Amino acid sequence: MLFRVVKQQIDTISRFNLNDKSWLENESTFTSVPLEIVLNELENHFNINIETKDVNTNLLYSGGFTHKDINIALQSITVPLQLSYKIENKTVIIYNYGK
Amino acid sequence: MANKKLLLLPFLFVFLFGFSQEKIKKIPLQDFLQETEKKIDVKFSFSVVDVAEIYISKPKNANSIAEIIDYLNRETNLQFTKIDNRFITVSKLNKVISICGKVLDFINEEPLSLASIKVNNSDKGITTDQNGRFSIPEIFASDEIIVSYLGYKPLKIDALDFKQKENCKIIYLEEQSFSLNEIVIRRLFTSGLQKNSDGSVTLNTEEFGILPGQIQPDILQTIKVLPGVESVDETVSNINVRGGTNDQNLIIWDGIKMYHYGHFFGLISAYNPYLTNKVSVVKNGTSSEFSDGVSSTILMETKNDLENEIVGGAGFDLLSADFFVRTPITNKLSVHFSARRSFTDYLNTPTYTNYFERSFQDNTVVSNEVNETETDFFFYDYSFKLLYNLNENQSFRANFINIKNNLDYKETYQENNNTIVENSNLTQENVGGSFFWNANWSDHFSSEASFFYSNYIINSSDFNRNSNQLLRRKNEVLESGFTLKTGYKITNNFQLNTGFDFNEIGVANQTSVNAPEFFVSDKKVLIKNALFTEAEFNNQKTYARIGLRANYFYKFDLFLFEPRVNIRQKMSRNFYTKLEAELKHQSIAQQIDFEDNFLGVEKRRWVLSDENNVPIIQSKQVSFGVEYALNNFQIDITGFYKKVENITVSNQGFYNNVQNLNAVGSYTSKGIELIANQKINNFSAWLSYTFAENDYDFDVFTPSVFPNNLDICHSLNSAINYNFNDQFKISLGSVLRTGKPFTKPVEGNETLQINNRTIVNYDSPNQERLPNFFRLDASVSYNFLFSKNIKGTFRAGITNMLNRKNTINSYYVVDENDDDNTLRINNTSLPFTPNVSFRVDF
Repeated sequence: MLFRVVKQQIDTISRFNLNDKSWLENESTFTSVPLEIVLNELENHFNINIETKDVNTNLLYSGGFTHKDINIALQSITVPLQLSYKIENKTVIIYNYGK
Repeated sequence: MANKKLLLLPFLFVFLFGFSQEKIKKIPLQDFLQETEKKIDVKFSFSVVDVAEIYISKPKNANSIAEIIDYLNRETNLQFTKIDNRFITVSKLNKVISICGKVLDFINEEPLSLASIKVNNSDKGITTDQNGRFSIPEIFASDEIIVSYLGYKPLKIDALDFKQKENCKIIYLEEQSFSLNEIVIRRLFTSGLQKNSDGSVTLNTEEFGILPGQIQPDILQTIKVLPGVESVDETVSNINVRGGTNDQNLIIWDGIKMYHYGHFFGLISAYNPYLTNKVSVVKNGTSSEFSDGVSSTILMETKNDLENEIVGGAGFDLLSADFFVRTPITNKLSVHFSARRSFTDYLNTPTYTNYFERSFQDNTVVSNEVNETETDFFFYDYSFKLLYNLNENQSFRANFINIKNNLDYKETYQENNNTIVENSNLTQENVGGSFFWNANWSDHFSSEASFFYSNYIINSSDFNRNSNQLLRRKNEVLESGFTLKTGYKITNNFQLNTGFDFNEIGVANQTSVNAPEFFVSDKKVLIKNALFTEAEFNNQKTYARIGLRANYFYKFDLFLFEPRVNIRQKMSRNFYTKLEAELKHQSIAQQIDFEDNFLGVEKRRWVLSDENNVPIIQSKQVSFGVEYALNNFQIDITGFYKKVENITVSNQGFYNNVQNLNAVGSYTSKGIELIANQKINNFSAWLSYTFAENDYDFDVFTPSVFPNNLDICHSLNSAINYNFNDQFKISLGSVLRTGKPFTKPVEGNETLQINNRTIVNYDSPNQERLPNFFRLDASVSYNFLFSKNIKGTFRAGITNMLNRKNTINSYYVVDENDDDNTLRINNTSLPFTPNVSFRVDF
């Protein structure tokens, strides 16, 4: 059993899956994780600063992002949550789609 | 039958079982995605809320990732997009779906073609095809579709709502009447007869079933089945609503006020029922938009939609042949045309003979002792309509109608050993036109500007060849009017209608003789202006329309204020009450002449009010009713009280000694009307009963209060209809009512000498009563398809199956052989009269 603490709560949902090859493929995966955590991971991996505009960062996200391409990574997070992004140097701005 | 049902049971079980099996197979989408991730080297990214609660069945033939994505895109409302070899995004965003639908009219479920389908906030859009269908292959799931059609309430539908399996979504559009008046009973008596929230009854000819004795949906014959609507002499030119004379009905055809509406001098309606789409009858609580017609308002409307393919039909019965065609010219322009002509001047059928005798009994045409006669009678009517839609919000309509009856009569007889030849001719004609401009300026505001023109002429000439004497009479009405009205919807339940009305009527009466030269002509013109306003409210529980009309007559410097009230309240699930009240007036009325005016065929002339001898007729009426409806059973009971003032003796026409007096009086009609209607599968039965009392009050008579000419105490209409299947229908019905009053001469002193003339010495009017009227009618209808789009209909009807001799009127003449004696003349109703019709519609 793997534990993680999300927002002061112990979460046991995610199990370590031997078939999950994500750790081999240079990527991060999540199951039912708030967007905030996902974005933190993204900041660490690509060494960027992420700003959000009127975005609900409590939305639960399942999936993952690649470590190879920042655009593909950003798309796989923003598209499901109906968000858009802009890259300005080392800063990424995430906002609601269509705004 | 029972066996068949038992056989069906196992199938039903199999079906239900199969259906529940289908349900069990579905799994949460999230599980399916995880499974796929395990099988194929992919990763789905999604928002947890989007995927939750979605269940799918596993794809059967999808193995590759491309196939799976395809399958998921089809089955779900989510967009699956492969962003690289491994990552697949799952999003509501940019979800592309294909949609299809079918647009139908809410009431008659007819497809609406050329309806506009627009994607909101984009320039994407298409129109429906001739079957009302449309499809858009690629559209975002988040899009909103706007379905609109001229004259209908537009609908906004989320694209996702289209996502139904296999079948295209059916969209019903409701006609935007800018009126809150709705249909409350969809099927009264027979299909196509509907009742509205304001108590008015609408006849939709296209959906119309059959009524006993009728071989076509004869518009004016049909409304006589309604309680409170009588015709004491069986003709459509004499419709008596709640005890009022015929001239107290306001009859409007596509905005044109009509003065002549029956062929055969009244036996059949002059309007092509296949082009007339809707007929509404209002007995009380009229909208303030309408003036005149103190007893009723009968509104006829032809089809008002553009066509996208040619629609037409042709038919004949034993009197006439007719055809109609509705055709598109361009996308925005359509033309409707209809014509009917009798072939009575070429061919005598039994129907014609009966109708002829009924129409022309006891007048100069058939009563003379004639050696040789030649009659030539024909009627025709045609109408024309142009429909142009400028855009979705503005439309123009132009209408034209012409109705004509012509009778030529030649008689040769012997008088003092001389052969005398007389040629007579009678024509009755109404020509009319109207123009409408309708505009919706916003969702809340609409306007209508309209103009109409109507010209009625009846002409008779009586030519005596031997003496070379020609007597001509003419009665002409020329009316035109302009109306501007606006509707402002304050909320969805509440709206204000306001308008202005300008109206001019001219009436001419002429009599001329060539030798000795004699000419009398009388021509009057009356101009009337009116402002009207009303508030209309409808929230499913309460319908209320409260209005006021202010009329002004320049000539008399007279204002008439007329409040109009119409309220219907839901008391419980199946129970309603209603209240109607109105004040109305009319400035034109018919005068009945007993001289052989117009050859004695049509004895009525239109005359205009002069506020002198002929005052403006004014009415007040109130009615209260209850309605109960449960499934297929309906019952409706209404009590009414109506008082009409300023009627004249010559307007009513009495057989009495003072019949030429211009005495002014009133009548009061009160009664109870009942409708009961029950439908069980293919069988329906209805009953309409009126109990009424109708008395005049004329000071010049003793007693001053006496029964109205049209006082029918009990009147019962009933019918049963049975549909064997969609093709074959029969209808059987009866009319039973009290006989109308009539006047006898003074017993023992039957005649009177006045200036060398002997006349009948009538007693107090309407003290006697004719025997009860009873008639049994039946009709059958059979329709079949020649081909996919061509339909044939055969109908046969019999009026007065029992060939009962009903006396509908009695009066007296001085016996030519004995001046002291009188003879009673009885007018009888139609004898056993069969008629058949056959028509083809495409």
